[in-house]
Amino acid sequence: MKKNMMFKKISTLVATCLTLVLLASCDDILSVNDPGAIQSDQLNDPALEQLIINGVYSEFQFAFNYMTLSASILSDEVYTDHTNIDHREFALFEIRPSNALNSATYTNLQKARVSAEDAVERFQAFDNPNPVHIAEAYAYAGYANLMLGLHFCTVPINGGPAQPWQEILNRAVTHFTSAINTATGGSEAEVRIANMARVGLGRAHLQLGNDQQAISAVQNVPADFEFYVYRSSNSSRETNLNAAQWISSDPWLGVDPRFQNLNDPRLRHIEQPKFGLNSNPVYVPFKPRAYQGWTAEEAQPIDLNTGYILSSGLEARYIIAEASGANAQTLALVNERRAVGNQEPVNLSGGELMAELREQKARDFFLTVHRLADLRRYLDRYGVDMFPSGNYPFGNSAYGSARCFIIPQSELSGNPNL
Amino acid sequence: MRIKSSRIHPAHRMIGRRMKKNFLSLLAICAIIIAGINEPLLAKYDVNNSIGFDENQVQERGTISGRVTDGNNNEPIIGVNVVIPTLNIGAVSDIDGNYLIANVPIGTHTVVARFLGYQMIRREVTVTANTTLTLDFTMVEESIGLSELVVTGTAGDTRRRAVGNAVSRVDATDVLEKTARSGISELLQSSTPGLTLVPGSGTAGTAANIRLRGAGSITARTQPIIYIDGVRLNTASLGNFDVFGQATSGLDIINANDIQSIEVIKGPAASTLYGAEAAAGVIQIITKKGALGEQNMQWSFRSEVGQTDWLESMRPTNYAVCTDARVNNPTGFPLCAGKSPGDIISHIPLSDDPNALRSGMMHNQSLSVQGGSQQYAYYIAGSFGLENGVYHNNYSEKGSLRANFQVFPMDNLDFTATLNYNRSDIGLPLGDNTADGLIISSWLANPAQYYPTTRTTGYFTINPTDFNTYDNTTVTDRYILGGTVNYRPFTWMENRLRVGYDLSNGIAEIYFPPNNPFAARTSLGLANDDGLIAKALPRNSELTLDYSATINYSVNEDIVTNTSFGAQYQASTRSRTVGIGQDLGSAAVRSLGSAAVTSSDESYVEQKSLGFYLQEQVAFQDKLFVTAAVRMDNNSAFGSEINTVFYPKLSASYVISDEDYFDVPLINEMRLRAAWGQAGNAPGPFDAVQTYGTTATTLPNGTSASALQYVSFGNPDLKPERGSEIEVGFDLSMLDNRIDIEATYYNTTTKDALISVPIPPSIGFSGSQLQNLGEISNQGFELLLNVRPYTSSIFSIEHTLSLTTNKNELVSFGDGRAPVIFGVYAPVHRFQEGYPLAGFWATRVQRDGSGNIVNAPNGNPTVEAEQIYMGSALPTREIGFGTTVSLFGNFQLYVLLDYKGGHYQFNVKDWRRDRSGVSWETVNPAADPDDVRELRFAGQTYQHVQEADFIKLRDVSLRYAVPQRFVTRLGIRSASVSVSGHNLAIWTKYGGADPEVNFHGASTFDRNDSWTLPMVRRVSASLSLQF
Repeated sequence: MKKNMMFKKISTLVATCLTLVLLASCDDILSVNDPGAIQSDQLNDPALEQLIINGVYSEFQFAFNYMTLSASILSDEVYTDHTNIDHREFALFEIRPSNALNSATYTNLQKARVSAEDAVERFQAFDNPNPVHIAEAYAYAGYANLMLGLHFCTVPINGGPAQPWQEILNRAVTHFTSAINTATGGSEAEVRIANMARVGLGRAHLQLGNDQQAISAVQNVPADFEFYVYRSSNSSRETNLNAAQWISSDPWLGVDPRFQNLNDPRLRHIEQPKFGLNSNPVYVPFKPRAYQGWTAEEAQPIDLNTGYILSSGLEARYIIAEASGANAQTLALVNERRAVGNQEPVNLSGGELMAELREQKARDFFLTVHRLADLRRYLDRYGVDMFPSGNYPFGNSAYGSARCFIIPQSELSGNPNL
Repeated sequence: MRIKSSRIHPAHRMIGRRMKKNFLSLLAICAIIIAGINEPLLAKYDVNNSIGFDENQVQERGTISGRVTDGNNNEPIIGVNVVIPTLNIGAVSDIDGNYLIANVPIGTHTVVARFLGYQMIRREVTVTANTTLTLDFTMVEESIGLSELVVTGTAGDTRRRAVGNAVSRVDATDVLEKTARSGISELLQSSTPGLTLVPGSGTAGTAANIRLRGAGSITARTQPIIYIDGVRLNTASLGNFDVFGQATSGLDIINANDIQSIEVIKGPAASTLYGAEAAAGVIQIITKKGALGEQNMQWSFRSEVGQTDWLESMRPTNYAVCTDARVNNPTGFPLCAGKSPGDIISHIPLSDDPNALRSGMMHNQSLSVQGGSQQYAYYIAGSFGLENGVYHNNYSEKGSLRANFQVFPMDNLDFTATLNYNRSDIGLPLGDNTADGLIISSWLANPAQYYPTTRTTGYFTINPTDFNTYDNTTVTDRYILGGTVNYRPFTWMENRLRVGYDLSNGIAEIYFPPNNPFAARTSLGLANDDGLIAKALPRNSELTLDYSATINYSVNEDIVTNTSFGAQYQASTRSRTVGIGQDLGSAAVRSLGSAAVTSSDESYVEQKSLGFYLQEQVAFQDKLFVTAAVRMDNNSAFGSEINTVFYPKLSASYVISDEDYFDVPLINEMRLRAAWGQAGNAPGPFDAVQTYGTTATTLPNGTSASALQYVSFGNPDLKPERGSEIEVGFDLSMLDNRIDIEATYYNTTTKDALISVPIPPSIGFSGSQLQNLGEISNQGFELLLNVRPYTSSIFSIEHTLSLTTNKNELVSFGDGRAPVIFGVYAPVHRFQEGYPLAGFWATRVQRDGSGNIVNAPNGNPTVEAEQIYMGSALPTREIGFGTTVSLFGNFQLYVLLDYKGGHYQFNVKDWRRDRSGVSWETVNPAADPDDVRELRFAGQTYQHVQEADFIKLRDVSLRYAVPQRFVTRLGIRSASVSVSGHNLAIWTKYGGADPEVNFHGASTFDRNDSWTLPMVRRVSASLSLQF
C-alpha cells in the first residue's frame, strides 16, 4: 500500500512537472512590445532615408540651439543671475567635468556629429541615395565637428583618445570638402549646401590659421546667402531654448554690461531691467541681427519660433576681412556694418581697424555661437585677450580662467581611452 | 515622441519563431495530463482517503462545541477561528468565547483553533453520529509564533516552525489602533527589524521608499516586490507630474484598514521561490476575511479626525545686517528703514503670511462587515479619508471599496474572490527642488529686502499667493481583482490556482492660469506666462497567474515530506500619454483643445516573466525541518543571449526545545534556524535592446517632420543580478514566556550586479549601458526583543525592542573603474569600491598651517585636492523601542521611540542659506571671517555634509476601551476611543530641522535635505466600534 501511494504521488509530480517544463518552452508568452522604438537593422531600409537625414537636421538644430545658450555664457555676451551652480560656474569661467551645462553641450554636439557621419555611411550603402542628402550629411558632419573644434579644448572621437581641437577642425575641413565635392549637381538645394559648407570650411581654416585657404573657401559665397537653423514651438525640443527664459517674468540670463546700451539695432535689449532669480537686474535682449525675423527698424522679442543664421555671405566677408588683414576692403566692410549700427564711419587702419572689425563682428553675430571661438582665436592668434576678467557683476566672485569647454565626466567615465 | 512602429522585442522574436506553441493549448494539455493520471489513481488507490467521496460518512454527522478562553486570565476570547481544515468547516467564537460547529461528518478529525497573537492549538477528536462533542480551548499568547502560519509561496499552510528563515509579521489592525499613521508605508515604520523606511517629504499623499537589509543593487530594484492576497501589486508612481521630493506610490492608496497583517520576507534566502525579481525581498499583504462557522456577522466602524502641522520650531531664523547702504535704501530694504547701521533684522520664514502654511485637517472613516456560515465567508468594507497638507494646495483624498468572498461548495474545494476598488485624488504643491517652491523662496530670502520679482519681502522667487494658484492633481482609479481556487483532490495533495489583475488608470493635470503676475517654470520646462495645462493619462497593470501544488507524504511516523511545485507568470505594463497646451487665453479655459499651442508625448514599457519552482521539505518528528528548492526563471528583460536562470535554496529549522534532552532552565521554547538561498533582480524592461526612436525637426516653412534619434545602447548579454544570502538565527521564549527573542545574522552578496557603465557620448548615444559587473554585500544583525515584565488583568506592561544593523559595501565594480561621483547640488555621493553605495564624500576648503584659507589667484578660496569620506547615506543602525502599558483592562498607553544613526545627510538648506548670507553663522558680527568665507563658499561641502543621527518620538497614543456594560445596551459589542500623535519630537545634532527627508523621494541613491518639507506632526483622535 505504501509503495502504491508513493508511486501515485511520484506519478502526479512527474506529470505536473512535465507540463510545467512544456510551459517553460513557451517563450511566445514572454514577447513584449516597444511601440516607440526602431531596431538598428531597420535603418538599412532605403525607405527611411528621409527620416535619417531629418535626424541629422534635428540633432544639429538641437545642439546648435543649446550652444547659443552655453557658448554665450562662456563668453562676454551674457551673464547669469541663476541660482543653479552649473550656470554660476559657467558664468564664472570655472568648469568642472561634472558641470551639467558643459556635459549637455558636449553630448548634443557629439550626437549631431555621429548622426551625420553615420548617415553618410548609411546613404552610401543604399542603391540610389539622394546626392543632396549625402552632401547635407557631409556638411552637417562638418558643422558638428566645427562646433566641437571651435569650442572644446580637446575632443575624443568614437570612444578614442582625446584629440586636440586642431585635429577636430581638420576633420571638419575633410567633411566640408566632401560636401562641396558632392553637391555639384547645380540644383538650388546643392548650391545652398555647397555655400553652407564653404562658409564652414572658411571658418575652420581661419581658426587653424590657414588664412589663404580660408579666403579661397568663402570667396565665391554670395553676399546675400543665409543658411538658417530653424526653431519652432511645435514641440519642446524644437523651441528656441533661450526664448523660454527670456520671455519669463524672472529671466536668469541678461545682456552682459559689455553690450548694454549701445544704441545699435543689431543688439537691442529692454530698457528697464527685469529681475532675475536672485532679484538682480537683468536686461533681456531683443532679436539680434542674426536671428530670424530681425529688422533694423523695430525691436522684436525673441520667441519660441525664432531661428538663427548658421552661415551667411556676411560671415564669408568677415572671414575674408580678418584673413586679409587691415586693408581698404576691410575698412569698407567695417563702415558698412557701422552704418547698420547707427554709427558714424571711421577711417582706421592697422590694429585699430582690426579691433573695430572685431567689434562689428561681435555685434553682427551676437548670440549666434561665434563670440567664444572668436575670443579664443583673438587670444591665440593675435594675443588679444578680450575674455572677461576681474569681479563678476554680482556677488563677491571673480572670473576664472576657463577658455573652452572640457570633456565631461560622462565621457571620462565611459571612455577607456581617456 | 511619436510612435513610428510596433515591433516585437527582438530578443524574443527569434525564440518565438523557434517555439510557436500556444499557451492556452498547453494549459489544456496540463489539465489533461493531470486528469488522465489522477482519475485512475483516484479510482484505484484513494477512494477511502478522499474527503467528499465517502458517501457513507455524508449521511451521519455530529456537532462540536466549546469555549475558548485566554490562558492568562481565563477571559473569553472573541473571534477565534475554530476549524477543521481538511473539511473546510469551522466557526468563530462569540462574545462569550463560545463556538459551535454543526454537521461534522463522523470520524476522527483534527480541530484547529487559531487567533492572531495566540499559539495555534490542534486537537484530534472523534465525532460520533448525532452527538455533540465538547471541546474547549485554552489559548496562550503567542510568544515566538512557532505555530503561526506564514506565507511561503507554496500551496497550503506552512507553520513558522518549518521555515528556516525569519519572517516578520506586522499586525496592521494593532498598529492602526495604536498610532496616527497613514498609509501602508507608515504601517511598516520601525516595526520590522531589517526594514528601513526612507521617506521623501512630509507632503500629504507622498510615499517612502522601502529597503530590506540594505541596498543590494545600484541600478535594478532596491525595493521589495509586494503582493496583496497573492496578487502582485504595482507600486510604481501614480504618474503625477514631477515635483521632486514628493514621490507618490501605488502602494499607499490601498486602504490600510482592510489589512489583517503584513509579512516581510527579507532576502534571497527566503525569497528564492519568488524568482528573478525578488532579491530585494518580498512583502505579503493579507487582507481581512470573513469567518466560517455558524451564521455570523460583525460590523466595524472606525472614525479618525486630526490635523497635521509644521512646527515653527522646525524652521530656521533668517538674519540680515542693516548696513549703511541698506538703511539708506528704504525701497530696496524696507525693513532697514529707521534702523541704525549694524542693526540685525531677523524673521522665521513662512511665519508671517497666512497664505503660506496652515494646519492641515485630516479625517478617515471606515465601515466594514464580515461574516459567514459553513459554506461561505465574506468581508465587505468601504472607507473614505482626507488629509490636507500644511501647504494650502496639498491634499490627499482616498476612497476604497473591498469585497472578499470565500465559498466552500465542497469539502475539498474552495474559491476566494477579492474585489478592490480604490480612488485617490492627490494635490501636490510645486516646490521642493524647483525655484518655485516656498521653502527655497523664503529660506534664501534676505529678511530686510524687498524683492520686485515677488512684490514682497521674505520671498525671493515666489510669494505664497502666487504659489497657491497652481494646481497639480492626480486622480487614480485602481482595481485589484483576484481569484483563487484551492482544490484538494486527495488528502495528500493541495492545488492552488490564482489569477490576479491590478489595474490603475489615472488622470494627472498641472495647470497654470494665464495672465498671472508670476510665471513659474515647471518641470516641463515650458513657458507658462500665457497659461499652461498639461494632462497625463498614466496606466499601469499587473497580471498574476500562479499555480502551486503541494504533496505531502508520511514516510513513517517520524518523517513527513512535503513536495511543492508551481509556476508563476507575471506581465506588467506601464504607459503614460501626455498632452500639453500653452497659451490658454483665459482663466476660464482649462482644456487642451482650447490651447493655442499643443504638444504630446507617450511612453510605454512592458515586462513579462515566467518561473517554475520545485521544493522538497522533510520534517522529522515535527521539530527538525530541512527544505531544498530550486527556481527557474525567464524574463523578457533578459538579453537575447540569456534564456533561463536557476536559483537554489537550502534551509533548516530545528525546534530544539521539543527535544527530550533539552532541559535548559528558564527557557520555554527555542528554535534554531539557518537558510541559504539565491534570488534574482531583473534589469529594466528594455535595457537589453539597442534602439532608435523618432523626434522632430523643424523645416524651413516652420512645420515639423519626423526625424531619427539615437535612443538606447542596449546590452544583449544582460542577465539578472544574483543575490545570495546566508542567514542564521534563533527564536527563543523564556521566563514563562515573559521574554521573547528573535535574533538573526544575515550576509547577502549580490553578484553580477548591474552596473551602469557610462556610454561615452562620442559614440553617439548618451546615458549609460547596463553590464553585469559588480558585487555588493550587505551584512548585519537583527534583533526583536519582547519583554513582558508584568501581566495581569489590572496592569500589564510590554516592551518591544527592534534592533537592526547594516553594513553595506560595494565590493567591486568588476572592471576596476574609477569611482562614480555624483550628486544633485554638488558631487557628494560616490560609488566607490570598499565603501557603502552612494556614501557621502565632502570637499573641504584648504587652510594653511596657521588655519588661514588658501586663496586662488582670483581671490576665491581653494579646496583640498582629495574629497573626504564622511559616511553612509542611509542609517547603519536602527533601534525602535516601544512600550505598551495596559491599565484596568481599559486603558492602553503606547510610546514608540525611533532611533536611526550611523549615517550622514547633505544639509543643502543650510549650505544655501550660508551662501546667501542669511544664517546666523554668516551674519554674526563675532564670527571668524575665514569661517564665514568658508561657509559661504559654494565649492565646499564639508561643513554641510553632516551627521544625521536622530531619535524621534515617533508615536504616542492613549486608548480607552469602553467597558462592555456601557456599550452592550446600545447594541454595540465593543467600543474604544484613542488619541494619537505621530512625529511629535526629534532629538538630533544635525544642523537642519529633520535629516529624515530627501529632495527626491523616488530617488534610489541621491540624498539631500534641500527644499523638501520635513516630516509633519500628526495628531488625531479616533473612535472604533464593533457591533
